[in-house]
Order: sequence, then C-alpha cells, then structure tokens
Amino acid sequence: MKPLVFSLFVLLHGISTNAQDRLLTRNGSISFYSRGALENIEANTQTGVSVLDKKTGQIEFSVLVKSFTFEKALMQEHFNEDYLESDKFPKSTFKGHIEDLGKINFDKDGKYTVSVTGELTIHGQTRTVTTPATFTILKGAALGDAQFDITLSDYKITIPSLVEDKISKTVKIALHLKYEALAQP
Amino acid sequence: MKKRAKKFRVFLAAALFTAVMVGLYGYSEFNRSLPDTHYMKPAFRLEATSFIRQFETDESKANAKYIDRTISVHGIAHAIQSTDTTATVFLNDGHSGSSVVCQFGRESHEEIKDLEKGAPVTIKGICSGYLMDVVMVRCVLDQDNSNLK
Repeated sequence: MKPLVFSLFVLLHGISTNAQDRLLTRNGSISFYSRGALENIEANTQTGVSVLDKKTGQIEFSVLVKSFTFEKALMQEHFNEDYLESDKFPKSTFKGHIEDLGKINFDKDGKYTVSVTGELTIHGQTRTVTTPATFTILKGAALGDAQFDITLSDYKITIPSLVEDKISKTVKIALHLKYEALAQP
Repeated sequence: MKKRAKKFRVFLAAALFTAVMVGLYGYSEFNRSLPDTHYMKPAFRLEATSFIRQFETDESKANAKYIDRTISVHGIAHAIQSTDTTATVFLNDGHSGSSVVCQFGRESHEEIKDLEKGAPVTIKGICSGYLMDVVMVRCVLDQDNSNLK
C-alpha cells in the first residue's frame, strides 16, 4: 500500500477519532487550466479521493494522474509521457489541514471561508501550499471548493524549449469536493 | 535549359505536395480527439469483485496488467452520482470495501440516466489505476446492457 493511500486508510480507520468526525469523497472533481499563446490546456477528473476530519481539520486527497481527461489526445499523451511522467509518478497528493477550523460550524448549514495549508506532491516533488477555501455545509455534507496556482518549475515539470514561450508557466488547479459522512458510497 | 526548368518545376511540386501533406498530418495529429470508447475492443472482460481483488492482492501486478487498457466490467451499480455534465457509477458486490469507480464524461453521462441503484450493469472504460477504488475513465455502457434500453 502506497504511503498516501496508507495515510488515507489510517485517517479513515484511525482509532483516535470517531468515524462520525470524518467526511469522505471518492469522486472528487479536480481540474486544471492553463492559458498559453500556443494553446490553452485544460483537463479534469472526477475520481479524486479525499478525507476531511471535522474534529482536527486534517485534509488529505489523492488523485491518479492518468485519470485526467483532455479534449485532445496528443495533449493527454504529452501530459502523461513528457510532463507529469505518470508511469513514474502515478499519483498526486495533498496532505494538510484547515488553519482556522473554528470558523466552520459543521452542524449549521452555511458557507464558510477558511485557509487550508499543506504539502502538495506532484511529479514526485513536494511543496507547501496555502490557499483560501470555502466549505458549504448542507445537511451534514460539506462541499469544499478551492482554487490556487502552481508554478510548473516548482514541481520540476519541464516544458520543451521549442514551446517554452508559448505555454504558460503556471497552472490553475480547482478542486470541488463533495464530502459525505464516512460510509460506503 | 528547358529540361532544367521542368526538373525544377517537378521538384517544386513535390516539395509543395510534401509540405502540404506534412502540414495536414500535423494539423490532424494536433487536433486528434481521444478515441471513442464505444468502438474500443476490451482487452479484458471481468467481474467487478475479481477486478478489485486483483488490485487489493498485488497492486503493482494489476497496474502492469490493466492500466491504460480498455476493460469491460460487470457488477452491481452500488451507487450512482450525477452532475449536469458527468456521472460516476460505483460497481461492487456490496460486500467489498472498495469499488470500481466508473467516470462517465460529457459525451456519455446520459447513457446511464435509466440505470438504477442495485441493478447489474456492464461498463467499458479505460483503467487509470487504484486508490481506494479501481478507477476507470471515459466510461460507456457496454453493448450487452439490453436490459437497460
């Protein structure tokens, strides 16, 4: 079992907190977008797995790089083979926490804006990311939304020199995670 | 002199033809869409339970065997979650902790509008690997779902 998946497993089944404190999504939506002179790059997946611990504010998510779908086949091939090297680095992960957890009342429907910080691992490189996020609470479920930019060079994602000036060096990542009480889907 | 001019014209025409062909190939390659899963022949036909168990038992071996391959999986639609443009079906036997997560995209998500929770179904898609569940993307209903139509 890989470390992050093991970590998710521990978070799901850990003995330190009750199951009712944990919310889970197994079909989290993750997309990224980059505007470039040559072309815009956009892809998404609805297969991200994430666990949120309401008591501690701990959040983890994991996504398979190969689950991202593009409109153009060539773009998807370059993404997997040249940029993200998905055979070598099959998963991207995040492990962090809600910094101001006290702002969220999980028992009261509403929209809460918080700050999330943690370690984002892409292409085998780990960097600290801090981003605003909103949690919309509705009948016990929590809808988490966040958007943030990453710089490709931070994650050692190399753009071929031929198209270096035509592809954006930053990518916007958007997460839309519909958490539900921990149970089988 | 005439002979040289003719040779040059032939060369020019050949060069132009080659340039056009290369351009057309480049353009079509650049804009090539992902193949439609409907027309892709499955490399494997599996029961969801067996598919999941293979990843649980030996993930590396299952990755090598199934990732990027077209798989047809039969199982029970344990859960169905839809948005306006996508749908996800969780296939399992109701006993396993894991499922086969089948992601339907914009082009195919309406295919499962009549699928009911608890119904048996066969879904074809491309295997992306395993997290807590086996993940399949670009899914479509496989052709042997006559009971749903």
